[in-house]
Amino acid sequence: MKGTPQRLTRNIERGCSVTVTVDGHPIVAYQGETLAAALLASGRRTFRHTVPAGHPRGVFCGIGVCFDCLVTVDGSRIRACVTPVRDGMQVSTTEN
Amino acid sequence: MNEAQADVVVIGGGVRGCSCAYHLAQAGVRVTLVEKDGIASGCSGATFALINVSYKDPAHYAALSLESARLFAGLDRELGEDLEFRPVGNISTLIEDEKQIPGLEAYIRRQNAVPGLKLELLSTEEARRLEPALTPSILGACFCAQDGHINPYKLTVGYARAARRLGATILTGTRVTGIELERNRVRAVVTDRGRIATENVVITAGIDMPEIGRMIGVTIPVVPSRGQVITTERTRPVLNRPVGSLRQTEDGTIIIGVSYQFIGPELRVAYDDMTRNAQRALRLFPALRNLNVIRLWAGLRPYTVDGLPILGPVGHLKGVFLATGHSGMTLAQVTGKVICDLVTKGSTPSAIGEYTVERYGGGRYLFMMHAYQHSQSPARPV
Amino acid sequence: MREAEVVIVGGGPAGLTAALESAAAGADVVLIDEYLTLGGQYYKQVPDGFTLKSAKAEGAEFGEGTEILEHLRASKVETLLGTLVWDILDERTLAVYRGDTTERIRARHLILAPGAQEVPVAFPGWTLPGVLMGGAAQALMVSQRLLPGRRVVLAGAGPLQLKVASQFVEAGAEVVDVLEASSKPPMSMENALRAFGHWGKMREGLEYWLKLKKAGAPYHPHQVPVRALGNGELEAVVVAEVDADWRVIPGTERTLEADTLCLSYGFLPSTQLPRLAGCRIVFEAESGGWVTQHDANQETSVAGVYVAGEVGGIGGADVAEEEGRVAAIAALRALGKVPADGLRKQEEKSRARLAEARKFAGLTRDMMRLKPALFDLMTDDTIVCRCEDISVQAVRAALADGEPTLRGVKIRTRAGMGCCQGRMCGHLIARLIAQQTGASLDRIDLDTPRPPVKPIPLSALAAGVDL
Repeated sequence: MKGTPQRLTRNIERGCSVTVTVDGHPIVAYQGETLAAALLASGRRTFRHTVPAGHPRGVFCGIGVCFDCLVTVDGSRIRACVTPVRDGMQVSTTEN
Repeated sequence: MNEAQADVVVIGGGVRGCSCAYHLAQAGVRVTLVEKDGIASGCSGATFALINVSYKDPAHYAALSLESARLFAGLDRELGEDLEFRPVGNISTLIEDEKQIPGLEAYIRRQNAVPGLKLELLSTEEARRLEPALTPSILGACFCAQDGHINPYKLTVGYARAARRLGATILTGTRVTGIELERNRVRAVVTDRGRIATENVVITAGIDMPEIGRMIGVTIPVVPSRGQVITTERTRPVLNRPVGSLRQTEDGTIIIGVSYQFIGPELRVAYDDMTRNAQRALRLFPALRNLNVIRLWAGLRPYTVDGLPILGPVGHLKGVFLATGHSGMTLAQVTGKVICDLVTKGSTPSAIGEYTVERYGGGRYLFMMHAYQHSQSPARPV
Repeated sequence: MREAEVVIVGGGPAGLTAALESAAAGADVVLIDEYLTLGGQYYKQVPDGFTLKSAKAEGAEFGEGTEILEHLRASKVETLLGTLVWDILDERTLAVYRGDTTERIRARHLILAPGAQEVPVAFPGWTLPGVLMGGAAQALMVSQRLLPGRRVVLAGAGPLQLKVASQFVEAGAEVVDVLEASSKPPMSMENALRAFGHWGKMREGLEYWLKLKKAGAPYHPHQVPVRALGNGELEAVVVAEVDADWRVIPGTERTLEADTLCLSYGFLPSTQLPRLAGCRIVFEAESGGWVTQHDANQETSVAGVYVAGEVGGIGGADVAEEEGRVAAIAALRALGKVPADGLRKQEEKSRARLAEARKFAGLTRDMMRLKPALFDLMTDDTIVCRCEDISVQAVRAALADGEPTLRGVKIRTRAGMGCCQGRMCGHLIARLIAQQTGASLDRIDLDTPRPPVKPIPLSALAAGVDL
């Protein structure tokens, strides 16, 4: 059973939306969000697979300490949980 | 352990010591290895791990290195571990300035006089065919197919584990405090956890050679040479072989050297060399700019004052053998083999005549040694 | 090279207070934080670009955070965000990386307040997406306004997870179960009596507890998760009862359907940066591990280097703030910004509040004290080193060589050589060593600290440190 992460709306107004492309697919993202939040909200909880064992990984510590949430942006491996989204960002969850 | 006995005690659990323990155990000798810290806790655990034959001179040293490199074939099977030994050659020198060429050509000619050694001068295109990630801005390179690299941890631990399987005793966290001699013969090795009666001692103590040498009244002029290394995160295959002091390990991390600084036993890193090495790495491989650096570290090579190994018996003492010098990984196999030959047969077919400790003439080289060492460990260089 | 009279690393409660106190006395202050927003893990901020419809509706803690950040903006403190201090060189010189540039900053007095991380607790399946730590849940719900999952099991030790659980309830999740490892949960009579007198904290705790009750969320003392199940992502959690020593009682397993498992098993001080600065660390059982040693003025074993907050011992936000104040006062006096006995009244008041806060912190710490059997939940094929996928079995095989050290395990398995630099596996490997040898944690040597304190790009290194 998969539970989809969900953006909360109580007492909050989000800023302008930005375009983020993940593995070629556009996802909804808002100025100021972390890439991890945007990925989760798009229904993606698996951000990468370990090399070489291929185990799925996503958000674990959420504060930039565990390095589980690594994705590739513009050729760099970055932690999604501490990286804010940027308009035009190209994200790969398969590149290593 | 209070009173123990061994045919041979090996002092020092780096790659040379573990190789000696393995080769001796394999020959049926009862060997005990004593290591003050952990296996590979010295330079063997903080090394660039090249199998380097091409940059060895004079000719006899290159020949010894070549002999040792050839002995790695099949070692995987013997030790029962994938040692990640890759005899893929090394592009050791990149030509970034035309002025380098004449000197390099002369060096290549000299080296190629050593039987079995073939250094080649490559054009930019040839170099980039071997290493597509290399910058097109280099003018050429020097390549030697007889070089390679290996996993230093797997090799050192592999030797130790195999030695133990063959009956050797490996004692870690055990410090040698003295060596008992009687009428110039070894009687025992004394440690902080007891005495081991023995008639043979092999000293492979790396930068601690001088200290152990003092226990038997022999001057062993070894000084630490700090090498600083950058280790990056894992990445996709970029390098097919070591290139210009960069090498990519089997797990995909890239390690970047190289430096030689004679500043005493200083393991903390300094940014002068580190920055130059990082800059050079990016000049050669611009695609690595965004690669994350995980660790900056240093190793202390046991450098002898003439840069050549010490390998062989101590002339005036019965049962004392020495093996040290930098390039431990490259010489690991021949060291183990030679020491085993000397202990079990009293002689070895390998040419080690140039590597006696006596060549230093006792105190004569001591002042040179002190000249290399700073009088005190410096504060963290900024 | 920028030189400052007081440099503070870490913009959580400790660092913020230290910065404001120092600036108020006229010192030239630089505050550095590796994240893009201040507040550390305590004062969660909404991101730039998000707007709150009503600040009041957020509650007191949020208001506190907003207020302190407003004070900071109004002050003369130079704040560097998104800036990583990757090494500390001689004479309190920081090697700093920001955006694309590197620089050095020399501090006459340096206050390190890098905080703590959460204790990783491993069991089969703990690496599945959907299993996360309390800090992740809070960062997502409170800052990012994102609910990470719909059916949540929480598991931990101590009162913090009551807060997290109630935040899940507020956000609309179904809290399937809340598991407390101890037989004496926070709201037990014993703990309630100890909390007596700390009215603010008691009221807070009661609020969370009532919210959970109202939502019908079950709460089970002496229970732990034993396995996380799912095909690629978390789908269910197997939980079991434990005895007074936290040992699993066979036959008590039950399976709960859940998409999220939130772990809150306490904190480990982030001593990496102080260690790089040469500061001595000591083992403090109450703090669950190694802390940076400091005196009553928060000064470490290195002259002119202070610590404040969790890195000197787990104590919570109130303790952190007062320690920040005490450290700042000590630095100001040493700088001559105030006379040697200046700020005497402020110091007295601060120390009084600190003593009070430490009392309550002691209770919280006791409730977060982990029993060794918690680390028996790891089985042979449980991943210990998340970065390199190294299993318990591989670690035990390495230990069979007879070297019970983190370094010995590292060179044989690669555990600790990944991007997190041993932050997740170090504690777990120490526990495995303790299990095997019977050694207490304080006898197990840590690996040598090496820069960078967190990974930096090669280009940053190539840029040189002001070379």
